Amino acid sequence: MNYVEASVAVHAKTQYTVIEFSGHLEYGKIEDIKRILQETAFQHERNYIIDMQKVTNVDSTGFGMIVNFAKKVSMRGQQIAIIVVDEFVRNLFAISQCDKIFPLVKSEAEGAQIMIDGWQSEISLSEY
Amino acid sequence: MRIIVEIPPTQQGIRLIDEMMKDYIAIHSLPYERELCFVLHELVINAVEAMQKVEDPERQSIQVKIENIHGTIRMCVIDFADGIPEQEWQEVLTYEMDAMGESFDRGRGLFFVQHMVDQLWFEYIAPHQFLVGVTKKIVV
Repeated sequence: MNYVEASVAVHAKTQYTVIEFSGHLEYGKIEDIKRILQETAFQHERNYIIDMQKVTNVDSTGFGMIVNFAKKVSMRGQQIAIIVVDEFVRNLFAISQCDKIFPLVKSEAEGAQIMIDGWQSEISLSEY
Repeated sequence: MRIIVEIPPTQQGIRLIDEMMKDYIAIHSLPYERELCFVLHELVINAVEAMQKVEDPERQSIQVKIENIHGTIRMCVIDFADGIPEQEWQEVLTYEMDAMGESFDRGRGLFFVQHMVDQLWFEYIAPHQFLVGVTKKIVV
């Protein structure tokens, strides 16, 4: 039986911080990660790129954690982009319409470009 | 083919069901692997979460039933907690970002589940016995 943990790594770059998730972001596996996210969001006044390229599975708990963090960042006036390469995960964003609120990209370079160019959401957080 | 499993409401129980479902789908070459695994996982974690409030040692289990009936997969998860009040059934199927907070990441699984299945229903089987069931047609 394969048991895949979940982990997070924080990489501070010049213009933004990359929050890189790995493994299975699932119920029962992400309590420590939530703590790290809370500390990261409130200590650093920066823009963020959430990197889900190494996420191999996600459930509603993991998805909620990601969106919760993105919401907190956005509400503080900071920019955020989310790297999603897995079509199933992308579909979760589409089902919840979170892809209309947060920019989904396919690479860090694309996310970095959004930090420069900005991004207009179809729906604002307050309208959602 | 029918599978009926009784598991403890624990992380180990969740892992067992996750692995069992993956194997079941692989052995029978079923489509919609990600969706079916996600759906069953969500039903089970909801049941495990509900069972956290149950102290009675006699009720410490969750039942999972999976059937393939003429090309339709039917999955039911039964827990022995108090269930979802009927007046909240519609609410648990909606997705509200304003609900985000410390408990945001809980209880939204059913919203995603309903988008991945053909049918979703709730049923009180008995006092302290609550069923959540789904069906999904896998053969056109």
